[in-house]
Amino acid sequence: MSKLKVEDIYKTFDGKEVLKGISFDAQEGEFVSLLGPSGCGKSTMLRIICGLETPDKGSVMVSGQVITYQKPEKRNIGMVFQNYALFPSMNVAKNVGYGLKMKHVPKDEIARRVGEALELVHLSGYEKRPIGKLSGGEQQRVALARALVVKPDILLLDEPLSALDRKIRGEMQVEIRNIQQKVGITTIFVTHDQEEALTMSDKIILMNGGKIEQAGEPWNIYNRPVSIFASDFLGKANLLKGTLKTMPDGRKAVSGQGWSFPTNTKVEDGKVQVAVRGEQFELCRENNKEATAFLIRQKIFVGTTCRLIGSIGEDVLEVSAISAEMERFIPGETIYLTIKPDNVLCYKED
Amino acid sequence: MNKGFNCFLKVWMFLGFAFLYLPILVIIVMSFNGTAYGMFPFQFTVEWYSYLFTKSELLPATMLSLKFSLTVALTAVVVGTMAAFGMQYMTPGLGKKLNTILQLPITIPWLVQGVSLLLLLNLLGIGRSYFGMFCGNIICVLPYVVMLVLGRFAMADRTPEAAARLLGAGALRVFFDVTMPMIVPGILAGGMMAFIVCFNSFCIQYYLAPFGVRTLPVEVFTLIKTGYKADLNALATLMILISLAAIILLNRLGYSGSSLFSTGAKKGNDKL
Repeated sequence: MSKLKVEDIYKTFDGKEVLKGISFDAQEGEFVSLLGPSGCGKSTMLRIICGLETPDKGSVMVSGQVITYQKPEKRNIGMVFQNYALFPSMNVAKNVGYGLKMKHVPKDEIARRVGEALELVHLSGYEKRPIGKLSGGEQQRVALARALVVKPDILLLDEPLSALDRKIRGEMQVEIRNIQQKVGITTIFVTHDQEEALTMSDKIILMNGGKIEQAGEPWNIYNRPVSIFASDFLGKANLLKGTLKTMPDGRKAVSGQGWSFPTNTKVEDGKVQVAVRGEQFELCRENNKEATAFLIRQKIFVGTTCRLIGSIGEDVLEVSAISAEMERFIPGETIYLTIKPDNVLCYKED
Repeated sequence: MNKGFNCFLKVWMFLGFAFLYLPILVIIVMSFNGTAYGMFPFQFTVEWYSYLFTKSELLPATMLSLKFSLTVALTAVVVGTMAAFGMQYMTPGLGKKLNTILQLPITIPWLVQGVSLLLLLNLLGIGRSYFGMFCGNIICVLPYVVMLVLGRFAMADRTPEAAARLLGAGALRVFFDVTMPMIVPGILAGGMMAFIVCFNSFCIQYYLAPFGVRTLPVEVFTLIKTGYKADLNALATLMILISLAAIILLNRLGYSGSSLFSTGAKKGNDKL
């Protein structure tokens, strides 16, 4: 039995349909990300799970029990908000202990459990600090401690790291994931940052326009996206238009003006949209029959990697690789690209 | 070029402040002047202060005004906060319409309000009474409380309330634990405005006060007809000193004019 099961959720706000039949589940201890662009409905879905909104249709079940219309204060669900939502008039200990106070836990036990929670988030000794004196990362950790100390069934996180700067965000991603695995709590994490979702999740649910585009393990969604949207939202994909043809020997190839790639797609022959990731190309100086000529027009150094922007025939293509490898290439050169057929993804034009 | 402009600005600034505070300074200085009607030559004396506390009719009127204004302010704060809180949960259209109606007493001249209320109260058979005066002053003062508390709500971050609910707090607990601390500056500001406006409210009290009952504004008006004495200056000086003390106390507690009376819609993370 899944820990969390969301079935067929529909929600309309002011005449605009925000969720159009969302269904997914999360197992005990699983870290699931709801990933998608702004306005795709992921935050609304989270609010429906915790009870701050009710759906027009559909149900939410926790451990087999239907909680769709239960009041938020009666659900045993913890939530961490984007802006932390700490109580400014209370210090750290009172913030973290608030949920326990609502449950009428005795004072000394509250103090003990607050101490444990703060230790879990590496903020031991912060009990008496006022909220105003904490940094963004510290506030986020207090919010996490506050949500976890009441031992909820499910933990929800609504873009908790968007307000932090890059470096702290990277550290917090790892920390949150470690804490989640240590505690073993089923977690639903909302984000629009695909890198964040890829780093942290056991399962990613990619949403677009109120519907689920694709759900699965990070590797799967990244390397086997089922649509143009999916391939472009995670990582960066080159999108080309071409024609798919099956050769007499059974192999398929897709080609455009001046380029051709082998592919293992299951799509029928004809006009298709092609998605190829820049980092999946192999580059070499010599031509062989399978390779496509690539004229380098621009070279961009990004640190670890290097981006080469150039043309294959009439189309523009961007290729990336580790900087050390790229040092030998210069703009104006023509090099040759090969790619594994599995990595050439074709979609019917819609 | 810049230096000259700066000097020019400073001169204007001093002139502006002088315009505001010179009359007040004159009042304070004249409270120590023994010559009648505040005329020269200036004779230093503190007799007006002793007169104020012994034979003057101003002090009883002041006490009445203080008690009355405090009652009005407290009631207006409770009612106004309830109104502002309720408006958070209305549809925006309805909320705006209600707000417009609530703000009307600011736009209607107090003179008109006073007379109209007297006519209404006479029609209802209540006439001049403490109750009538109380209601009249509440009507007059409520818009300020609502405006300041609403302003506080507009600036505030509402997500802590959602967080409290998810931690198991019922609606009432959320209000007292989370919402109240957040809007307290608005309530304080509203209460102060309510008190000050009521304390000074001459028109309403003149028309609605029961016969023989004289709050301070009414008393001062009557005295001007019968003859001015400088105990009025002494009272004014004391009131100025008390107001100054109150402002300094509030500043020490961490509040400032801009933070208390702000009604801006900018959302921020500031505590006050």
